Amino acid sequence: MSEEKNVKNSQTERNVNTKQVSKEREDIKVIRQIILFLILGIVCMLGYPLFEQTTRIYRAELPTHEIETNFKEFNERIYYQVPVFLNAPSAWKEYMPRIQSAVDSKIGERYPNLKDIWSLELHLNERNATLEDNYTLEVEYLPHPDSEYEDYPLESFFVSPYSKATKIRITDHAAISKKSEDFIAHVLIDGIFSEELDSLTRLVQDIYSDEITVPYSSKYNVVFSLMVESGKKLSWDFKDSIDLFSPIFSRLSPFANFSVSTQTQYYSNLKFAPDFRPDYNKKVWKNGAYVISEAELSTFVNYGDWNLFSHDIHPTINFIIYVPDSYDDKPLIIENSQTNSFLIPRWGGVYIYNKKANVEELTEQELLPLMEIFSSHLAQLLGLPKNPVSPMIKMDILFRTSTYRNLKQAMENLDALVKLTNSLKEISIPKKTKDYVTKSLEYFELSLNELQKGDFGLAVEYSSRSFESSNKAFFEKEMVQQAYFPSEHRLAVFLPLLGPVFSIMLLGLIKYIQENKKASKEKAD
Amino acid sequence: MNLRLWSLLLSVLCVTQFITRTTADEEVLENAERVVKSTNSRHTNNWAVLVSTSKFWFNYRHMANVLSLYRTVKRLGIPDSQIILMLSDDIACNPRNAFPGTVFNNMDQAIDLYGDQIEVDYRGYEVTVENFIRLLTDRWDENHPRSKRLLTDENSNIFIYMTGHGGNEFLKFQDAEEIGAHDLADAFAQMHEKKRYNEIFFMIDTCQANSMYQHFYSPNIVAVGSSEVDESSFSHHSDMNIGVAVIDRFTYYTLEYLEKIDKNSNATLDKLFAEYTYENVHSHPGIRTDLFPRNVSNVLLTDFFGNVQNVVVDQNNNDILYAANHEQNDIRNPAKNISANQDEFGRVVAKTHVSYKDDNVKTLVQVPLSRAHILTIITVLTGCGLWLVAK
Repeated sequence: MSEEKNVKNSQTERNVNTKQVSKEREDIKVIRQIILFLILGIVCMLGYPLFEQTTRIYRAELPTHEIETNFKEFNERIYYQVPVFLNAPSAWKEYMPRIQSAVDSKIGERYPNLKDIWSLELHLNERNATLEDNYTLEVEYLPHPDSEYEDYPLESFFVSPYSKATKIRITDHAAISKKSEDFIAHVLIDGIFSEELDSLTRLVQDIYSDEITVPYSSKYNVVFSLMVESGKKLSWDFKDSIDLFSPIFSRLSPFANFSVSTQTQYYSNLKFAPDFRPDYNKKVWKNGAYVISEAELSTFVNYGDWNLFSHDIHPTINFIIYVPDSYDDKPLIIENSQTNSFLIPRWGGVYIYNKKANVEELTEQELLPLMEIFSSHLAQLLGLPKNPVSPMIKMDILFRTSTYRNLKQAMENLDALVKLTNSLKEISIPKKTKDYVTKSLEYFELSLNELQKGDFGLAVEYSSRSFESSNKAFFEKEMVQQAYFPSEHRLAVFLPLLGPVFSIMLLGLIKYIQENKKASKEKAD
Repeated sequence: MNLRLWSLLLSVLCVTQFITRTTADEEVLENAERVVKSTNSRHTNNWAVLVSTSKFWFNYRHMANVLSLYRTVKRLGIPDSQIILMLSDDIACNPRNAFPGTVFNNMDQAIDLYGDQIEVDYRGYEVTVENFIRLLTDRWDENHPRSKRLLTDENSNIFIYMTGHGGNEFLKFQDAEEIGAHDLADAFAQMHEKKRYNEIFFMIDTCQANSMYQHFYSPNIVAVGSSEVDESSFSHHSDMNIGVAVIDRFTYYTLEYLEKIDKNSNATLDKLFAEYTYENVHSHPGIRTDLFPRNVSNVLLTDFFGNVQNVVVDQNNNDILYAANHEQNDIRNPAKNISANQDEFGRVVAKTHVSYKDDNVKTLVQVPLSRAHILTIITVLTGCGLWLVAK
């Protein structure tokens, strides 16, 4: 019994003891609770926003709707109207609507895709005023021959290589059978603007086939290099030769800027030894010739050894005059090439110049045919059409097709950006991206405006800016998605930091709730 | 009318002749058709991205792997400007290298991979996940040089080769960080969205390599890996003089096959894939073609390893410079004559085709009667001749 009592006593004692320990002074309890709520408050009011702020990915609001409508309704928004002036007597005034409708129906029939995009606007230029920088058709009427022995004249047309003028000759046959308008439509659509319409059709159908063209940029470096195989001194009159290009470059200035540089390099060796063929084209080369086959040409340029200009941010168009060290008048010849030159797609042109043994200077006269070939290479590398002959019309065509391509690619870029930001939720969209997007859209509108006004030079300039801004928006440096973290990784990173804080807070909160419950129970009792 | 009849007869003869030929050479034609089909990749330029993510001497083989592929793509015609080479580049001049300045991929030491001109674009500490992702997505500083960029477009075929130490869904970059399979898949998605490639051939030689490509979701990608999840990718052999393994099995057999290929080869991807047997590689190589629309048996290896950029000889359009430098009727500077036909104004005659003469005549071709007779006789003779030959 006494033992039992003892046990009971000790139990009651312990109870008393525990009560004394748990009995907390009321003011301290209040302070503890205040601290708990203070921490809770700090965590919720300061910690959480701070955490949000520091871990949030900045995503600027893009004008998604505008981009999408521009992208979808692109072909409805763009419209070319090319004015053409007819130098003809005023009596033709009544024929004008007929000619216009013949032209329109021919476009609609041949290029159904371009019906709502591209049109010619014919005007009658009665006083035959010379119109600089405008397409003119000079109509000439060839009468029926006087004598029977003379040949019947044929309908014909001549495109001037110096201006945008075209001369048309119409004979009785067309005039009597009322086919003049057909002929004019034929000249315009098949003769002058055919390549433009073809390439626009390809662009509308999304067929990109530019295997040769250098990717578009608003600035190109053009480098003329004289590569001499031996170390013998050779000078060249590059200044005058390259000046020949300046009218082309200045005329192309709305399309792109060109910065020209030259260099001379000696000891430029080939990577391979060309075959010597003693009987190759014996008539021309009596002592035989070193011949490079077409297959070998792709490794002709020694990219590693020749100090070629490639460090600039803008694309470089290279023109190389290669002067081989020919011994005993045995020249270096490209097989099956009349001009001894070739074009490397997207890169540049090469001309192999076999000089006479003791020549120490290449004059402008000697360089002239080379420069002519390089100009043709340049035309192909930039995507100028082959027809018509007039370079002015060619450049105009380049302006219009590039405007279409630039604007379309700009909208494609922006659309891709929108799609990307929608699909990758964790990629940041910096403010700069948004700025570039707005810029790109602005230039897009400006370019469309200029198209409507008929200023194709300004249109291509704005379209290039729109394209470049859209590229900058897409390729913004800061828009690199952070490495992918699985959620376990994320937990592993944040747990050591947040764990201790949260466990204390959680336990304190539980205790507070328990105490509150207890207190309320006691009150109820 | 006579002429018409005979031309009809001739065309009939031609058709019969063609049919007899078809039955005879059916097989040849079928083959030809296959070749035509197999070359219908519409790419116009080729690029290669070759990455070795390892560092240090004992990872000799990874550098040898990547340099071997570099040598191969260069041999098959991709210029250095279109090859991006990422490697630590600490092997050739490593103090432990018994043959300084060299890297070999075989104990016979026949080919010094480091001897030919090597143009490394990213070396040492530049080989990082960030740089790799930036390379693929082309998000760089404005002044980043062109030679270090992947300047591809919608007509580019890209060959991407990666080697290093990998794990399940990741590949380690130089013991410091790792790239996840999702990162890679997202990067490819961005490339696709921006039309930065036509087709991609992705090849990876790491442990558990097949896990790296399983998250890809962008089209036109064909991928091969050297080993399954929970499998190692084994090395092929060691060179006792160098003291470490010199090449991995998967890459070794890839190269062994590619060595037989030249620029004009008609070998297709499936032939290369046939080399990847368990006996060769000692692990289970994986091939993923579900994103790739073409049948791999129709895809030329040179679509990815070669370069299509052929040079163009003699397709010049003349007189641009001349015309640009001369005013109309300019007689001051008659440097040379314009070669084409000229009218009396010195302008080039472009086309004089259309004639509205004789609208009512119904004959197709206008020929004098005597000439028509001769033509008819010749046509009959050739027709009979062809028919006899065909018989």
